[in-house]
Amino acid sequence: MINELLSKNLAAAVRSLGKSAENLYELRIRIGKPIAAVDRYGTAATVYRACAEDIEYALNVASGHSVYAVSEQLLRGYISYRGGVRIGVGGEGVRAGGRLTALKNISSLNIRVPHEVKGCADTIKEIFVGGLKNILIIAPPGAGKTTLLREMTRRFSQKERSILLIDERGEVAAVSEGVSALDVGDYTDILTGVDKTLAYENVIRAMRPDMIVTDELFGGEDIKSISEIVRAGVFVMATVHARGIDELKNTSFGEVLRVFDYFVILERVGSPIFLMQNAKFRIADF
Amino acid sequence: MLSLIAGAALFVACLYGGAGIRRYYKVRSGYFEEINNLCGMLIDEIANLKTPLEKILENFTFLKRGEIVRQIDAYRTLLKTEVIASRESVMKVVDSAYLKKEEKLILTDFFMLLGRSHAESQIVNIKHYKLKFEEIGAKAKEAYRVQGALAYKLGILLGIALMIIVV
Repeated sequence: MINELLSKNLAAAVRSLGKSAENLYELRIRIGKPIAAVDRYGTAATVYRACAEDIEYALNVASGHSVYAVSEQLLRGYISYRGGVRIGVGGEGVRAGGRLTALKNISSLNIRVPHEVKGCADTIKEIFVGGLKNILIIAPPGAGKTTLLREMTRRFSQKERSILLIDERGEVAAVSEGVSALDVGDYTDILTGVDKTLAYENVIRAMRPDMIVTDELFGGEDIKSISEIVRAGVFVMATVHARGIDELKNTSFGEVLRVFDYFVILERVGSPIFLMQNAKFRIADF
Repeated sequence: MLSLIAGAALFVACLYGGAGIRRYYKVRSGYFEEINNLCGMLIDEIANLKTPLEKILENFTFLKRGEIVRQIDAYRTLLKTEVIASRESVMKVVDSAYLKKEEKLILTDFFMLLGRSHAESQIVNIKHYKLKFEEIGAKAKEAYRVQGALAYKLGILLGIALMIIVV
């Protein structure tokens, strides 16, 4: 999948590292800088330095030669590509009328490839016993939150339960043309590419889910919405960037922590890849 | 007998010549009508659905034939092979015996801008080109109506005249 995004020079540079593009977890491209490639064995940097054409090539492929189709995503700092690949972008913002209207001169990309690790939630299998619960997965970036969320969604998805996955960035289920590329269960409805807050407001009545699953809560409206959803009798499973509960207590998340029945804390141990396969989970009642 | 055959051959040749010139004007007129339709479709699809360019072009050419379909197919192939299409390559794509030099340059610029900016900018630019194409298309239509018909009639008349002279 990631191979399609690489220009000839870039693909050759990655090959020169002895890494297969198909096995990469992450590829960081910055104009004029070496390319950093991350796979399960760690990070390596190329001698080759990326140029503007390498970035334009990847953006052209990812957007299907249609910048207009991804411009709203670009304003949020990423582009979703098929197969759940997410391309983070760095560049210069253009402001008009006090708001960000475009991103130009894109100078860096972070191509992240999702990985499906079935069984990665086995160490916390007791969480799946006794029905649905409100769960918050807490982890620092790169620790495997989304992988764990995907697996837990799959495990919770059973015929007597209706799960609604709000996959704003398309990373969890990797829906392409209406079909999910990654397994999130047979009884999961997926709403992809829609703002979380907009989704919360509109889908609860229409879809009548028993549980709403969403990735990467950010604060503000997300927190307000979570409280409202739980009050409405719908369970929530979500992820958040943090190193632990204590770190969240002193932030805007402090108030909403009480609505969760369980916290799953995913700690970074060694390289992110090592974590993906040997995740250390701790279940803590609040 | 031989002169009769020669006269008939000259008549047919003149007739085909006239029809060929008329066809040239007809293709040009049809071309600009179609590229205007393409602009309309691009504006609608980009403004309302943000449909990817490849899909718009595919839908536009579905069950169609002609010069514009040939160009669009070549352009789609170019995007797949080159990914970052150069101006020279796009110029080759738009090259056509039915288009004038300045029209080819306008069309090259038009294809070069597609998909390269955010929706509002795309729509403004495509509308600008649509106006240009409408203007050229109106002239091409008029040329087909006047010059195309004239060439066809002159072809017939010349054929008859040559036939009379030879016979």
